[in-house]
Amino acid sequence: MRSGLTLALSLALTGALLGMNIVLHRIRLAAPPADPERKLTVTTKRLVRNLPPPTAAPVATNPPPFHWSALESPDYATYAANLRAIGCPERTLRDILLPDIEKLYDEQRRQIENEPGDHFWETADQRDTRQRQHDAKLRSLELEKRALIRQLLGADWSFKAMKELRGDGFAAALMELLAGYMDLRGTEHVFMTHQLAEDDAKAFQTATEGIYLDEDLTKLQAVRDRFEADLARGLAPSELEELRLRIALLAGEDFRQVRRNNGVPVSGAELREIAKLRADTKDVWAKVLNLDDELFTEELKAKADAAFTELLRRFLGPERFADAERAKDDLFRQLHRSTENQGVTKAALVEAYEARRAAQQQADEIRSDAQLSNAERAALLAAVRAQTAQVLSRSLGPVGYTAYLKEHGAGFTNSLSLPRAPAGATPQANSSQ
Amino acid sequence: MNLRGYILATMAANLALVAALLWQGARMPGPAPRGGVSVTTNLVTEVLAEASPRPAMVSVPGSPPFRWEQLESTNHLQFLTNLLAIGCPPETARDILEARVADEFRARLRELMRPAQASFWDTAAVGEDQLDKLVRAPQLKQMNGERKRVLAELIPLLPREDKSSKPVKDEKLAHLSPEKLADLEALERQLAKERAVIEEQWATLSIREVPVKKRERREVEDAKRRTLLTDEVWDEAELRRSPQSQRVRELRGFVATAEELKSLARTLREFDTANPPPIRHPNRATDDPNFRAMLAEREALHTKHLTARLGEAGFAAFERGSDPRFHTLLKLARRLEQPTETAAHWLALQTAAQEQARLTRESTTLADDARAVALLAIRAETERTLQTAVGPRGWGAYLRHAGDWLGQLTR
Repeated sequence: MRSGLTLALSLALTGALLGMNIVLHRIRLAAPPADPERKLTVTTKRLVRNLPPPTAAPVATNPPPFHWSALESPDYATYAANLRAIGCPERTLRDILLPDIEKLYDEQRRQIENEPGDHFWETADQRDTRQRQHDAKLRSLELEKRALIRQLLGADWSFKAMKELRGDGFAAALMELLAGYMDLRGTEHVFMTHQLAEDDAKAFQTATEGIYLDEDLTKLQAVRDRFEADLARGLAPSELEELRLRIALLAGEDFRQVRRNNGVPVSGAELREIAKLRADTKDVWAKVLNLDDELFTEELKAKADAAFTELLRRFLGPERFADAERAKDDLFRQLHRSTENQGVTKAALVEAYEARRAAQQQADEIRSDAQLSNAERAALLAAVRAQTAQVLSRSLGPVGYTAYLKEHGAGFTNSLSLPRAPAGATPQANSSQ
Repeated sequence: MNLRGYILATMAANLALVAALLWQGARMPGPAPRGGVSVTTNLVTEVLAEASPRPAMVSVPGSPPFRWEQLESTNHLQFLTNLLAIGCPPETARDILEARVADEFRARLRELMRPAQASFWDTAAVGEDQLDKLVRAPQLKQMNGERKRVLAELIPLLPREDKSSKPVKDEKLAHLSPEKLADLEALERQLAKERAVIEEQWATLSIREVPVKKRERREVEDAKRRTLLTDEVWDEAELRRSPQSQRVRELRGFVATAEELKSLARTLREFDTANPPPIRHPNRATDDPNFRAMLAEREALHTKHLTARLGEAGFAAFERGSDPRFHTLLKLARRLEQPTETAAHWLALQTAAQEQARLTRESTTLADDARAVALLAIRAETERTLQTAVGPRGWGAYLRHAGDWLGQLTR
């Protein structure tokens, strides 16, 4: 009986040991391999106050690229301030703003000019009335634009003048020649001031329909005076005076014959003095604004011209003044220039000129003589021509005469041979004055 | 096998199981070996909305702030590329580049002309053409060519805004609807193309044949235009193109509504169609009496016709309205805030004085001296009357702008 019990206990112990072995075996198989690294994720929150708008929220290491739109603004003052803030040079700022403003106002101008509706059946008066209203609107637009430019750039600027000044070709070179003795700022000041004054004068002319009452002349004079004062504000007195004299020289037709290659011996300094005489007797500033006809009567202008001639006579002296008078005639200039380097003396040249002039006068008389038949006229003209050729040949000498004929032979023959004076060959047309 | 044998066997098995248990226990994995720990930090920024305590300062975007110098380059193409890269509008880039190139060449022009500046007056004293030669120097021409080339390289990259989209308004067609106008414009383009081809073929024709062909072509084109328009609209277009409509449109000081003007243009056209102007025989002199008589007859008929249509006063206004002298006087009256009638009065005084002077000049009964005295008297009296009529405020302006004829009275 005790053996049975021992066997039972032994069997129970065997079962228990077997179970424990099985469990241990399973645990060993299920054990994971050794973990080489452990990853941990930590989330941190940072509160930030007063950040820029979310779109502009920068990632510190990767800021968005700068874009022009950050500068632009519908308000020109803001646009200008933004450009200045990034260090845009004033000159470039002006080159950006001026054309931009011009385009804006151009569009507004077009809107005024392209008035809708059918206005065909209107009289000239009705059209003029409408035009005057348009002009008034355009003028106020122009003044508004000027004020805006002044506010933004701190000074008056004209896009039109800048464009002209920056043009190429002959006109630009001429402007450079006229005002290139000043620095660039001075040159720009001159052209800007001129443009604005000219616009003012034209606007006044438009507003008054070109009919100036006595009281308007005072206003026109004020435009002219303001122009001079504005010029003076930006230039040194010596620069302003030089400009006045150069304008007198380039615009003045009154003494363009007074040059050495026309047989009038003058130096550069003397020519400058002559330009001064002209500028003192003719209002140069009124002339460049095209106001001289409005501000000065024909009588006043004639008096000024006579005064200049007298001053010129005194300045040049009798001999050179006579040279200057002769040089007004194209016939003399032709003779002088074609024989300039041929050793012809002045006395010979004057003799040739007198003969040539007398022949021209005779030819004109023959042509206008209605009593003459065509054959008689032709014969007389031929005689005058032959006689003049003889005098010219003798005075100028063979070399000089040949040189003259080479350049003006056709003109000489035609003006003394054709039954009717060739176009532009009348004594009046020949004169350069 | 007896019971004892079973007991011994189970005990042996138990011993074996204990040994296996000990063996397994010895091979059980210990605690895991400690590897590296990597920590990833997620930084989440939480924005706390809060009202700004003061207005935002002008700030330049970018970090560090963007500066204009970053764009600058002495190479125009590079500068342009930089401008466009930051989104500068092509129009603005064009403005900047054009100005820059112009300034660069202006500086070169200045340098080139520096010697001429120094000798300006001496050069001018030689001859006027000497200054002209300076501004037309070959170097200047060459420089301008260079400038054009530089711009030609840059500007195609920057197309200008198209402003030509808005066609110029043609007043003669302002009565058409936009749709009809578009149709007509399309037709005109088509006709122009056809015309170009046809006119090439005319090159072989004689001088006499060309006008005939042209007329035929015009008729064909008008027929095509006509198909687009109603009779009423076509008639209006024809009237607007007529010289008579131009005449009424040029009237000054003539008060009329649009309908009245249109009607007047029709009247004039009907008269001209019914009474074409006489044509002078080319072999007869300009003062051919027959021709002059025909002209006078037609003029009288015209006056009668228009007087019947407009009345005496209306016809006078019509005649005056076409007179260029009246145009200036009207403007002066406007400046003096005077009515049209005042200008008409001044014109009447002028006409009367000029007629009186003409009769005096043509008078065969007067000696030369007496004629001169008479003309002086006419002038003095006319000036006195006119001065009173115009008034002191406008008299100076009258003399400046409309008074030339006074001087001619005595010639």
